Amino acid sequence: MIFLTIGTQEPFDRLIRSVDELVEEGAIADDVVGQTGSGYRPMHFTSYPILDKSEFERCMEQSRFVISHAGMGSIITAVTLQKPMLVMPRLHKYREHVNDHQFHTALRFEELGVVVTARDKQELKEKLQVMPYFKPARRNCDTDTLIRRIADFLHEQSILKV
Amino acid sequence: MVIQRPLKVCLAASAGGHLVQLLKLAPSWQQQETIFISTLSAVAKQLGSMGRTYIVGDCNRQHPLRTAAVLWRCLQVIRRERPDVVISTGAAPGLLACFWGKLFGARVIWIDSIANTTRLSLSGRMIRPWCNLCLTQWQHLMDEAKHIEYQGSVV
Repeated sequence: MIFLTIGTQEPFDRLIRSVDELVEEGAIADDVVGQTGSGYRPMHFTSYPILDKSEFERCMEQSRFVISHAGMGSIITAVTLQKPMLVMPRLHKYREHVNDHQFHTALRFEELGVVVTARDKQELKEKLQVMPYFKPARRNCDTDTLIRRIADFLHEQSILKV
Repeated sequence: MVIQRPLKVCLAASAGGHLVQLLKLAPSWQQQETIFISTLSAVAKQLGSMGRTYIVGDCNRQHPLRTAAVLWRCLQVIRRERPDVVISTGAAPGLLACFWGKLFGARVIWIDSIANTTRLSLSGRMIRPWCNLCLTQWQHLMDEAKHIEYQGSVV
């Protein structure tokens, strides 16, 4: 199974329509399950407007790989579950987001070997071929140091509150 | 004599990626009292188990009227709760919570979303001069002169 998600916010019909057409054309042979919001309704795979956190994680866990917008909620969940991920960034020129930060996020995480990026339906079709062989790189990201910094700051404040 | 008491920490983040990032940092405030500000009622149940939760609705710079409504709701929350510290990962509603927090005497921690890879987010750039602690999650964006720290990232 392939899990498709466009995240929780604005519509992203371009991605849903691309995947729907690729399933129809036979370029995607796997079953697809999607969290696709309230916009374009796919006709060739199962989709839900929104999944709660546990259902979302279960779908991702059961999937062979994930197709997603380049949103951090989806990327973080995929990295945590060590799932291969193919991302299509939301672009400002199609009014899919307020700016092009998803494009830069996608490129940066692609450089780090964490995701594969596709900009349109044609690239999506091409990159689908590499997904069975793509193993996401593990991140070494010092989250503990970040947590310690914030905890120390709060600790200082709680003492200053005498 | 050193007396220590738990702080009231207001955690503000939009539903979705911003909230996922904020919750990854939860061990930081496990000894404090927490309240939450978020944007979608879909996350209210999950957050409600960790502290009083206020859903203020979503907004961004392209919707000034909605932004005004969220600004007003954030004011009500901050005025009522009077947190000691406001912590946010963004986006616009988090910025508004930080803004009111600062005006009501709270310390402000801004953790810029890891989605901002080329420069600090617009919200981050707006709140930075007011922040008591400003963190980026990319080493190449740290800036000592502007007190933007890098200490690691959530992913």
